[in-house]
Amino acid sequence: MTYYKTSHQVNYGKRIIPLKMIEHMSFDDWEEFIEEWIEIKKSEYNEAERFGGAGDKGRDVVGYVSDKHKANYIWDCYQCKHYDSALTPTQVYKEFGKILYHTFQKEYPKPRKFYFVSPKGCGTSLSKLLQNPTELKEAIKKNWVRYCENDISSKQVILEGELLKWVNNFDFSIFKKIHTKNILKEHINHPNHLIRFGGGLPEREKLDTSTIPSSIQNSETIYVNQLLSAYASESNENYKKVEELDTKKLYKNHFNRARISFHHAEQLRNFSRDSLPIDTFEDFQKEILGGIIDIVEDEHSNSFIKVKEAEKEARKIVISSNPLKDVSIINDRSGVCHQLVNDKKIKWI
Amino acid sequence: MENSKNINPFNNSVESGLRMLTILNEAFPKSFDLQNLVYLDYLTIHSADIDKSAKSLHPAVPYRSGEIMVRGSIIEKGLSLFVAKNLIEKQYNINGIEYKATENAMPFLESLEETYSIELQNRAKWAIDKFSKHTKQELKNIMTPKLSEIDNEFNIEILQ
Repeated sequence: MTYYKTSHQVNYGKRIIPLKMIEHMSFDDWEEFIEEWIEIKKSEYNEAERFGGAGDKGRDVVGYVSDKHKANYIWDCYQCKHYDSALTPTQVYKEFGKILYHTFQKEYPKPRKFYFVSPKGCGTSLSKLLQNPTELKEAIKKNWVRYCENDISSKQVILEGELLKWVNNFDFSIFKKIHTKNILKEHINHPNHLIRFGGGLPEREKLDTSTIPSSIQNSETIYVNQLLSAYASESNENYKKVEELDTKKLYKNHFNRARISFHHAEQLRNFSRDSLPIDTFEDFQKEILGGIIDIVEDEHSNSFIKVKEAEKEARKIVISSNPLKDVSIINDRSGVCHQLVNDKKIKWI
Repeated sequence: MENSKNINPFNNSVESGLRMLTILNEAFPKSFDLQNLVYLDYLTIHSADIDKSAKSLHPAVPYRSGEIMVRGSIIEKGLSLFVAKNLIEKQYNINGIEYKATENAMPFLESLEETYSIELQNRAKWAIDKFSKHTKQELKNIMTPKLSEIDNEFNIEILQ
């Protein structure tokens, strides 16, 4: 089979699937990626907290199911390990040890679940142990002296007496793993997912204009009043309410178009918020502002002409790099003009 | 860059190697030699031939018992491919040459999502739970009468 070469291939090379990209992430990128995932996970939890570093007592990222200030709160623990290879039991025995020791010391209650998270996943041996809690318990006890005794606390922790009893009665089925493919599936909902892994924007829904409320909403008053003043500056009349335009066909038609375009731009803002980093839409607005600002500051014989000139210019602006260019329609451009008025960035009069 | 060589969609090294990896991963840390793997492979994909209550992953084609004879070399090629990818390791021990899954086996298999791969993992688990304790000779003794039965069934069908 042969293929046409695309400019995308020439610029970016062969497409690498996200699962593979993760395997090659640096430690910093991996941390950021996990933090973004935790932001998404926060909806499952009352609160999420990241410890990491010394003194975390084996807790890396923590999700609290119930209030952490009340005794015996319920929590899940996520242990994020970044290694170049799949995790092996000898790399993580001390992590089990820490949880066993610190819960024995009553420094925190037993976690509901404890998950290993790692770019290359858990190796075959560790996975087999995680599948079999009895074997896991035996393996930890057998390896305690070598991997835990001097590694889980500043002082030596010997597995004997009450601690041994605690370990024997511990429920080892709380220890689990999460495969990166499942993290990815959740991370898709994060606004940074696309700039991290690519894959293109989702489809943009068509705005159903019948869903625009017939009465002017509070959030619309600024740009609506500015428009009314602009019409007034041409007709030398005074309009206080939109209803007063009913007899002025020209203004009424322009107003209806302006309002629909405003709602298109609002819809684009929501679309952007769901799939792109926060400032993407602001940058889009700034491009439009840069294109129309001279017209807005120029003298015009009346303000309505200014509005129309600015809208006309906004529709012509070529936006070349903002990712929203692929989904934006002409109406968004004039809609952004009214958003800018609404946000008090510019004024018609 | 494009490879013009046609690769058979069935019985190629990727397909047979993936089955071996799935079986070895289920049996981990056990290792098996080639002949043993050939039997376990047959049991994984034609489970209904041995246990009527099970459902086979692959269709019950006529004369499939012959697969036991011819699969050996195909499976060996698949094993070599996956050894090269560090998913299976080759061990030389007192029983001769044996194969075992590596630490990378589990994370690799877990990244697969197609129904076939997942079904394959279920059947491999079944085959390993039931038959991994048997020796090669025992497996042969279990399978031989069943296989000739299968061939006879088909011969009778032709005669009718």
